[in-house]
Amino acid sequence: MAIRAASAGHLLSAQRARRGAVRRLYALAAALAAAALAPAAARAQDPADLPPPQGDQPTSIRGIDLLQKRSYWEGSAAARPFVSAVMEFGALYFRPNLAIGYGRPHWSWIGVEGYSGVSTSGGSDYVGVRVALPQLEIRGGARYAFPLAQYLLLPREEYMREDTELKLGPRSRYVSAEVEIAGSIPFLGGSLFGVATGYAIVGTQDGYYVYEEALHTVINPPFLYRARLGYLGQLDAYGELRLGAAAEILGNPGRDSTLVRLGPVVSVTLTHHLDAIGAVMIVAASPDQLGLLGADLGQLGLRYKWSTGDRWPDFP
Amino acid sequence: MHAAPAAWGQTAPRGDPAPTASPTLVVGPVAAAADRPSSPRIEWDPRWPRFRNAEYIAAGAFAAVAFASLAIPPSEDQWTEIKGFDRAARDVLRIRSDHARSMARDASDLLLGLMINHLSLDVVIVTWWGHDRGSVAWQLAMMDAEALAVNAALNGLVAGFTSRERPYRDECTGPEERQSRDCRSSKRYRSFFSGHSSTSFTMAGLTCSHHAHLPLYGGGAPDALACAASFAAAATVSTLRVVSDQHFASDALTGASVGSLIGLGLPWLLHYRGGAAPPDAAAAARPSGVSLRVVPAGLGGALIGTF
Repeated sequence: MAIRAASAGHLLSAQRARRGAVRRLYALAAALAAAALAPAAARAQDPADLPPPQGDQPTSIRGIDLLQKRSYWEGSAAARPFVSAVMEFGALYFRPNLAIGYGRPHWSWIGVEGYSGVSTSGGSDYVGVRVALPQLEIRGGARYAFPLAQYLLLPREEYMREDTELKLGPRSRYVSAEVEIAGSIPFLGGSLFGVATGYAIVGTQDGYYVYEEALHTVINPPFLYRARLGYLGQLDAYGELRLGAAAEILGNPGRDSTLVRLGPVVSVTLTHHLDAIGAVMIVAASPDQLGLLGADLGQLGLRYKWSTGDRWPDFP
Repeated sequence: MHAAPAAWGQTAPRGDPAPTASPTLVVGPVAAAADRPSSPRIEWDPRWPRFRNAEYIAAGAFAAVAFASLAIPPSEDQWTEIKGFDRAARDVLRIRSDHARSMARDASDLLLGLMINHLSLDVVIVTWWGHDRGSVAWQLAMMDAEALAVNAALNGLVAGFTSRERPYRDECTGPEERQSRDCRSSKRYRSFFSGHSSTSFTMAGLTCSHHAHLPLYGGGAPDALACAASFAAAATVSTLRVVSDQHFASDALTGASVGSLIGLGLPWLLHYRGGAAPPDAAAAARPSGVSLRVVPAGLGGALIGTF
């Protein structure tokens, strides 16, 4: 009986492994297809009849992702050199984040990271360094933004949405140098998190303002800062499902302007590798009237974490 | 064949009530689900075919077609005429104020975004986390992706090749650099049929299909309400597209019809109508008693027996 059980277990494991391999192959094929198809979408000048915020890269999850660290990654394997990835995908976007570093991936490590984000409205490439501790992370890097149909803006006191769509300046292309610190602490049965980011937008022509694609605001370059504070309460004993709210303030010394957004955030951990984060940040105060263009409407996007040396790498 | 269940979200009676194993998705929940609220179990009926390999390929192909269709160049004079129904509907429904029209367009975007998130919530939080049924969530997610890909491909091809000019064309005057992005881009010639309408009705159809066959919210009224609310939201999205002057009424009505057909029809045709081979058919055909089989193994072969 024991032989049979062992043999059957071995066969079942082999079948599962084979099916897992097939599924990983599908996932890889889908990811490659999405990446390969992105240039076709890019050339098309965003003609899709889709709401613009859905096509943008999600930035609203900053800080929340810190709370999605699972101690599995602490115990999965010892500190080591590694290559890791976080695949973020939703209904209309896909963003693979790659990292090369030393330590425990997705937990505490130091290294180089980068991502390439594409959508129907454009894309961005980022490369930088990160120092990650379980509850504190510091990063610095440069992001190149290449929106498809966005042009630099003539200076104004106040912008309506239509003003940002005019073709009165050169095509918008810029590099954003970024430094960020994010941390979290347990608080009242949940977690309080904070993020502070400094930006320097360079590579634009003098005399023009920029619609910042990731932050959804009009700025007079080069400097911009963002401070975000939020709280996520645990809805279950293990902290798998969390619900809360966040508020953020964006300041642009060049325009002497301040933007305030706030909204609900939700996160759920599905497996040690897979989680989902959603956030909706609605404008509460702004010098402009951009409508939804000024909001940060995130989807409930899935994030799959992968790393070399993972002791139990089975999908998902 | 398996028809729709008698009551919303109530799993149809089955001869074999034993829960099916999750053969393709072995999910290790982070923590036990014992302390979660109890609710009717979500089970994938063995008679419903699981997502097939051919469907993965087809969904990818439809998504590729949808992306490729964005590159179809517009034919600017192909369809500019406005017939009686569309003219009359526009005269009645179009909001006169520029600001209010802009708000209506934003509202349609926002509502569509909420519908996308609702669909995701049903899969990720309700089915996967709440009911702890990762394998069922995977099936739902793939069915959703497949239907949305089919809808996007159909919409992209039809909108690209029919090249109908949008109703807001009257505002596209003056030098090109002072026109809005919607006027300058090929989006101006993609009026038929409404992508917002077809997408929102596809999502409404998917929501109804899932809630009709699985008691995601516990069965009964809550699941029926989810379906009704989804269709109400989809109807609102379509109406907002017309009143904001983004589409003609015929664009929105066609989109609603196509979306409903895809959202309700595709899951039923490929999955919920049944037709899968019973999972234990092979086991039933296997003779009882002792059996021995030789199978390939790493060092040549292995003898496997059941007794």
